Amino acid sequence: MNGNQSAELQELVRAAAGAKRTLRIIGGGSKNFLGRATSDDDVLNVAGHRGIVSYEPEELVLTARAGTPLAEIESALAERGQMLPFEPPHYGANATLGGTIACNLSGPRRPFAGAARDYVLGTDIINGRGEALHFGGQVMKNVAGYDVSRLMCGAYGTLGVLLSITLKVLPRTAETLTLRHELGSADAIRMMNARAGQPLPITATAYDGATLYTRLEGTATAVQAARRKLGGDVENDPAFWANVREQRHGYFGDARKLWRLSVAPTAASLNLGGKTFIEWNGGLRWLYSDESPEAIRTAARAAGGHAMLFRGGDEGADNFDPLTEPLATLQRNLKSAFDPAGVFNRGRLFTAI
Amino acid sequence: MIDPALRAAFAEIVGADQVLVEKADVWPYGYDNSRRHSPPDAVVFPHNHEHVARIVRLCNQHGLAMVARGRGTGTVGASVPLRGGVVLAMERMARIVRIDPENRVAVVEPGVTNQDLQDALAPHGFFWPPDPTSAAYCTIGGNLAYNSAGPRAIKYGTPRENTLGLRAVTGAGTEIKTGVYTTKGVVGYDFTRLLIGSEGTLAIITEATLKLTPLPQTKRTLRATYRNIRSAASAVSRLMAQPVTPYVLEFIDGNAIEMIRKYSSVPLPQGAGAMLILEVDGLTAGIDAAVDALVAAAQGDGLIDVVTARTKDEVDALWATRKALSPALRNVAPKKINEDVVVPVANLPDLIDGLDALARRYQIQIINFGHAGNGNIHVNLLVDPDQADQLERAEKCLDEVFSLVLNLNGTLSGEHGVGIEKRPFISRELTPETLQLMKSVKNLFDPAGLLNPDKIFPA
Repeated sequence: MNGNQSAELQELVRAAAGAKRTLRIIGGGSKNFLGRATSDDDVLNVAGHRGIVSYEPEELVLTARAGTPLAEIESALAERGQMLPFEPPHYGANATLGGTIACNLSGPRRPFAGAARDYVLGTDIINGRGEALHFGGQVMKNVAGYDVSRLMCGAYGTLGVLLSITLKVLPRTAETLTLRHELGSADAIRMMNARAGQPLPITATAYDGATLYTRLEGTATAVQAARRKLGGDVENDPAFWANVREQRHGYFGDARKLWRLSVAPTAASLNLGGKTFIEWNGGLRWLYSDESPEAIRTAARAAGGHAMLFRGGDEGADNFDPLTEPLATLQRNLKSAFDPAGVFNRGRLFTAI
Repeated sequence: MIDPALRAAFAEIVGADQVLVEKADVWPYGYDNSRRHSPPDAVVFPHNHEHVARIVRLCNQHGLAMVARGRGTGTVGASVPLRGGVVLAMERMARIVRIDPENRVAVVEPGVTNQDLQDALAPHGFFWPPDPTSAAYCTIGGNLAYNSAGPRAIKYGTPRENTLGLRAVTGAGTEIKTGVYTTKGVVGYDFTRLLIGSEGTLAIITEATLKLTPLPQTKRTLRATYRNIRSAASAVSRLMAQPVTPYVLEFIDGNAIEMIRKYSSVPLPQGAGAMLILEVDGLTAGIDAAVDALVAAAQGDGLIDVVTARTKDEVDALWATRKALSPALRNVAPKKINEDVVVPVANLPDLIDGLDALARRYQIQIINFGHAGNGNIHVNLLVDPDQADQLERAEKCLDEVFSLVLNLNGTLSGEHGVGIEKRPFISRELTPETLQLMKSVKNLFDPAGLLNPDKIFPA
């Protein structure tokens, strides 16, 4: 089923709810591998609901329909010297804004600038009853009612169909420079954290097992001052961070399952079999491993965080750390408040959600 | 007056000296800075999470309304116990549980004041960005309840962007933990941000894990004056659209400048119709370049002058204008109705022009200042409550202020909240379907409707 206009999409949702059929929401399909596999009755394709609705560079605010390709948004912003501050990964040429927000995907800049959800000012959605709802607005500060816009981020489409999203955008930085330091893993983790505790113009860090990469961005004088302070060699590959973000870097592409572990940034090496790639000052650890899900989840919890099965493996099993009671009940009930008949993406996030 | 058996039950949880029931004792816990007052039947001082959970369950068993209260600096009546019942005074849950500089995290109880936290963080080289004007007295719990941010939000964000996780007790007495300690991770739906800004209507926060930011190496203060609001608003857009983001960008309108000129001796340039005060921070090595970038962006039609302060005395002199404002306001009118509306920056001139027109029509003096960088303007209606018709005119005027703001794609509140004061207006901003959904969210957390009832939603 395809819907180009919000009214058409609403009609399709109402019909599905009435017929007790479930819908799998799809945009460009680039995030199909994320989350649990579902067995929905029908596909609701929102890729046709596209286009930038308004972009006001002076206001640093952009509103686009959910099916708008991410590339189209990024090129419109680049023309005016602006960017999406959360540097989202695309994971495919067809990536849409809706999928990016639904999965709350953020790239290398996240620990320094915030996640996708931090830049969402407002959303229009269709709930499970087929009603069109509007949350938030066009301004950064808003405490009129509950912050429902942010609930949509990372909900994997289980609460409703995103129709349009209003984002805060930022000017691009003037100067960029990436430094390399050859280091062992313990030293790399220590150095990332020590630097993150200082007021330095760092906007990305990555460690591939041998080399620590540190991106500096800001005014030319600040970048040069930080470079003198940090030392190291200059990395000359202009595509380095894009390759890390899109998982085209040499580390990625293993046949084993890829896990994504969020842990305390200072956590030492996790002692799991496999190979690790570190980002976000140590807070994000990618892991290719054949270890059991239990062993990986236990290690992540011991390191103050949680683990998600990102690529490969059994998509019918739990991809995310299972929720414990009473949070599980509250989350199930929240799903019901938005989508009482369970029309959307059933089981995508958790078996019961 | 509360039933003696119930009083004994509360005393069993927290100790007899941690429960107040006498009329004179509970009186001070019935107000906030909105000047509304409604005394509770009892005040209970929890000392830990367990106390809060047991108090909430007891209230549920007995159908008692409950309201969590920090230090009462809120301005919309959100902590005023309209139905009486129990006030959970959080001021004795004021421990800084842990400062973890390596992971750049602090864990605090809700009763810690914002200033105490900042003072404890500074020796470690960190700060927590939200700093409302009442920082010396307001609590972190209150900052989270209203998502109160203060001026630094334009660069560093609001509490929602600076909080990793929460421990809380829902209105039903369910104990929950949201977020993940030390990592900015969310499993499932994001309840952390949902609870922040919900004005204590969903759950009572008992512990917060806060994300810390390194203190900047140095900072500079600038002041730019403009002939009128339009030229100042254009400058705000130019300043925000270049890559050096100031961490403070405050605005004072022409009426405020006129008042300062009348009631203080602060020297001001002639012909000033609007003023911007900026602060920028960064590395010592780059700060001059940052100042140059801001001075360049401040240039444009209508600029009278732009001054940069380098010494502490020069900084104080620039801020003297802004600081002279509050005493001057008190000289003019005994009561001010202070609203914190937000509009897109480009709509600021239309907002100020619209407010001037309303001031003329209703014969009410209106003074505007606030956080221009994100369009968050404090609109002050100056009234003398002893003149009955003036208060009535002010009410009508306020009603139109809100319509004006919503017509300019704005919102009723940036950081003060809805509470009681803006309940009558919330349905103008949110559709019935949206409000219904928010009510069903409230119902999930507080099925009996006992936690801070009669707030946010229209009566």
